[in-house]
Amino acid sequence: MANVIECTALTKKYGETYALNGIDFAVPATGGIVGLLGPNGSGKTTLIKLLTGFLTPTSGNVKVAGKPVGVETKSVVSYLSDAHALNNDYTVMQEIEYFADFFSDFDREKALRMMVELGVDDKKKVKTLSKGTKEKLALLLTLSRNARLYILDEPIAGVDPAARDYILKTILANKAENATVLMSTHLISEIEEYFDYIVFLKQGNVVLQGEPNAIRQREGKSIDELFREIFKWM
Amino acid sequence: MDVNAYETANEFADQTEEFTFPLPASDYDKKGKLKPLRGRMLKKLFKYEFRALLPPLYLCLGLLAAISVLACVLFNLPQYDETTGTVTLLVSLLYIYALIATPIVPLIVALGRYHKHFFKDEGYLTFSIPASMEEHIFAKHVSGMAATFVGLVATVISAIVVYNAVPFMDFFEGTIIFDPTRTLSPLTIVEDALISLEWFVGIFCVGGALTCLWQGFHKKWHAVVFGIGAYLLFMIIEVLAVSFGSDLFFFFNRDPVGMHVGAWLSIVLYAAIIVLCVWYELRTLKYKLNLK
Repeated sequence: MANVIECTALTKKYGETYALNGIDFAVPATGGIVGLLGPNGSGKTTLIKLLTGFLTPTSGNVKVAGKPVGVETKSVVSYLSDAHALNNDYTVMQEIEYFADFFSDFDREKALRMMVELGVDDKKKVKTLSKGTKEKLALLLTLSRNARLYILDEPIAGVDPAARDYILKTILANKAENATVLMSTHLISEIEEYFDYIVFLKQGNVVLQGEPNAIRQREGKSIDELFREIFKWM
Repeated sequence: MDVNAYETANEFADQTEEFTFPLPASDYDKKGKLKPLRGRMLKKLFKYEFRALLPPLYLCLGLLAAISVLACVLFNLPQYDETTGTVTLLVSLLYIYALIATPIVPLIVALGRYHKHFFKDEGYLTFSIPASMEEHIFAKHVSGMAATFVGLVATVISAIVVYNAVPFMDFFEGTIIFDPTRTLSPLTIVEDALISLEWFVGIFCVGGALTCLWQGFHKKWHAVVFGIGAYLLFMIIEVLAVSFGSDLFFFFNRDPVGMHVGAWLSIVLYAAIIVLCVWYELRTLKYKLNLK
């Protein structure tokens, strides 16, 4: 099985501060859910920005689907930013057409079905939508692509527990078959059962990675307990 | 607990699977390298740029046409009383504003979209699209130039129509601007055309580069000082360029050869500025992008 993500000696510096400090890790294209875990400031968003081409590494290499990050990788990566960026002047339907135009893997029928399921009004302008509805729209647009890799930056931050469950179930039900989902979060207890693979980041370093079951058996504790132990001094 | 116990090399390193990318063969050159500018992608980018630029342009064109007609009618009234005189004065003012606004509004909208789509939250969407930075910049600038050019042409047509329709606007007659005996050499026409084109293109490239410059500086006053400094330097170089070969400094008693040398120095200077600005835009968007 090939790696959908590969980072080699990946370093990103902001001034004199290391956001990522020569990390090596890879995510296999097994079609599972990968948890990118760590507290605020651990380098999760920096890593995601490097994977999506919003930042350039200071040194080291990053590959997605076997290629350096660029136009080709963007064609197979579906990215949900924590800003839930959308074209605010468009209607919901125009936003769907925009995605359908630019992403050849966009499934219009799936988007329309999810729009009905999530109760998003297609005639409304994006700027008039509530924060929650905007989040739903951004999520449905992201998941309507038949991408190889979904990168979701804090998709459940700032929402209530019921909505979290709903969002996670929506992700699981709608992601493309055999696609990998990389999801960053610091809310572990609620979603650790969904992870097939986890990567722990601490101060720009990968301190732990592997399959959750193997880690649980080895350490004799849940991922959430392990997380609290690793980050207890932070 | 030794947290580094799991920090192992990748256990799934078997790279036997080839990933496929949903890009057509026409996107690649003969060497199999992705083209920096692809017609297919540019067409889509232009579609959305023009969809945003055309409504304000149409509004300006409509208003300019309406005010031009009104101005022609009012300026041709046989006599004026207090009311018609006041209305004519107001329409004259409106007409001047409309003349200025028609090319300026598309320019402002285009540069506003540049900032919004590249450096604000929308940037997360813009740069998720499988398009190169060259394609993004090209589409933004060329669409902005096209809309502004249409505005400029409309302004010139309106000015000619109103000038010819109004009987008392003959004060340019006999001045050098409308001197019928004045002829321009082909070389001068080429020089003037090139300088005008570079000025026009330069507005967008400088505008884009200044937007990149603004976001690239952590302290905004550094950007202001740098911008003013660069502008002053440009002015000094430009004055030296156009003054080259004149008998006296600046524009007096210039010999024709000196004029041409000055013109070509300007052409080279503007071309260099455009290239520098585009290089700076690409460098910022490719390597220095940092959306919050």
